[in-house]
Amino acid sequence: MLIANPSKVTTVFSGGCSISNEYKCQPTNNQSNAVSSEFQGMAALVVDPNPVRAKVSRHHIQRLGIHVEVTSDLNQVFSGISSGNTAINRVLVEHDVWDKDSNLSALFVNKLKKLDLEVPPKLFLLANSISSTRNSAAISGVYNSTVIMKPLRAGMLAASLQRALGVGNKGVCQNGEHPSLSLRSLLRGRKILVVDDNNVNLRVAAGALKKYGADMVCADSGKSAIPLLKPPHDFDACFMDIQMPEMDGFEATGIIREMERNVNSRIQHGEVSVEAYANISNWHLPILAMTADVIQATHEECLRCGMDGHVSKPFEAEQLYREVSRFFQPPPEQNQ
Amino acid sequence: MDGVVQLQRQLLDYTTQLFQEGFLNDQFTQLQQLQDETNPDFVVEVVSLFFEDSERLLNELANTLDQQSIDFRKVDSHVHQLKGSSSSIGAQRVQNVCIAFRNFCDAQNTEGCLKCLQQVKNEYALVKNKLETLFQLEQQILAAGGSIPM
Repeated sequence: MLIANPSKVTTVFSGGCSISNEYKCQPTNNQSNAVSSEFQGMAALVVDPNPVRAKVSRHHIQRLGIHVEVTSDLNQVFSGISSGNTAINRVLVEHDVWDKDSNLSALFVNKLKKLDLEVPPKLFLLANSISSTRNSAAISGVYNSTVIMKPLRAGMLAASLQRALGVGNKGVCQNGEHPSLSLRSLLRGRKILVVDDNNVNLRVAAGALKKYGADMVCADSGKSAIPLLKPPHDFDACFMDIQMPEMDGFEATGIIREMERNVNSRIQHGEVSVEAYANISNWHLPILAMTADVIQATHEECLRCGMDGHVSKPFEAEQLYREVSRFFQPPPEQNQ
Repeated sequence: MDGVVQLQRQLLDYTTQLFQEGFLNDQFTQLQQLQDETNPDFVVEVVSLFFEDSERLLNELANTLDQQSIDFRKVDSHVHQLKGSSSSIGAQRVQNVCIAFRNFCDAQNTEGCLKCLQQVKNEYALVKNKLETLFQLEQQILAAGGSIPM
C-alpha cells in the first residue's frame, strides 16, 4: 500500500521508533491479541499508487500494531529508509508496481542490498493470484522477500510477517520460505486422517497432503472415522469435513473427544495402564474442520464442539501452514 | 521444434481464455501445481473423478426432481456434493449455478430448481468439453516431445 503523504513521513520518524531488529523466536500464541504485541514498534512502508487499495492494506497492517507509511513508487522508498532516524524493517510492494517495470524492480532490489544497514528491511510482495506470484518468483529468490496473498486477511498477514521475522514460530525461524516447503517440513511422515463424504474432495486433499509428504488415510463418513480414532491410535491429526449426511463433523468430533476424555480419566485413576495406551496419558488429537464457507459463526461452533481450528476447502497453503504449525514443529534436524 | 512451440502457445492461449471466461478459477491452477513426480497424472485423475461424480449426481438430480412429491432435502444434498466437487477442481461456473440451485431448494421452488438443473447440465457439458480439449492439447505436446508450459 502506498499513500503519498510526505508530511506524515517526517512526523512519524522524527520521534524515532524503537524498532527491535532482533528476530526473536517466540512460542506461538493462539490469541490474535498476542500477535499485535509482537509487532509493536515496527514500521512498514507500503508501495502502491492506488490510494483506495493502499488504505485497505494499511488498515490491515496497522491493526497488527505496526506503524505504516505509504509511498506511491519505488523511488521514494529510499528517502524513507536511508534517513538517520528511520528504521523501516519491512517494505510491502503491490505486485503491479513490481511488474510494471522489471528494470526498476531489479534496480530497487540491488539498491536495498547495497544499503549499509545492519539488518536490511524485508521485502514483501502483495499479490492477487498465483500467476502474478509466479512472475515475481524470480525476485523472491533474489532477496529476502515473501509473497503475501490478497485479499489481505489479518490472520494470514500476521502469519506471513511472523514467519518472515521468525517470530511466533515455536522456535523455528524461516525467512520468506514458500509455504509448501514449510508445509513439507511440518507434515512429512505425519499420519493424517481426512474425513469427507465427497470423493473428489478426498482425492484433492490426498494430492495436496501427498505433496507435503504426509501419510494420508481417508474416511468417507463420521461413522467410519470414529473407530479409527479410538485411542490408542497413531494418527497425528484429522481433517474433518463439517457437512456430511447422517453424522456431521461436529457430532463426530464430539464423540471422539468423549472417547479421549474417557481414556484419559481411566489412565489418571489408574484403572488402565498408560503403557497400554502408547505411554500417552493425555489423548487429544488435533482436529481441524474443513469448511467450504468460512464464516465466523462456523469458527465458534468448531471450537465449541472440541475442534482445534479450521481450514478452508480446498486447502489454501498459507492457511494450512498457519493452522498446522500450531500443533506440529518441524523435526530439529530439518531446519531449512 | 517449431510445431511444439506453436502447440504450447495454443495451450497457453486456450487456458488463459478459459480463465477469462470464468470456466476455471485459481483452484484449477492449484491442482496443476500439485502435479509432480510423486503425483504425475494428478490433474487428469481428479478431473476424471469429477466427471464420473458429476454425471452420477446429475442423474440423481433428474430423478429426484421428477418425482410426484419432490424431496428437496435430497435435492439439496446432491447439489451440495456437486458444489463441493466443482469447487475443488475450480469449475467456477458450475459452482456458481449450484449456489443459486441451493437457494431454490431452500425455497422449495420446483420451477427454479428445474431451471437450475438445466443450467447446471449445460455448464457441466461446456466445462467438460473445454477440459477434454485442454487435455488433448497437452497430449499432443507430449507426443511431439515437448513439455507442458506452466
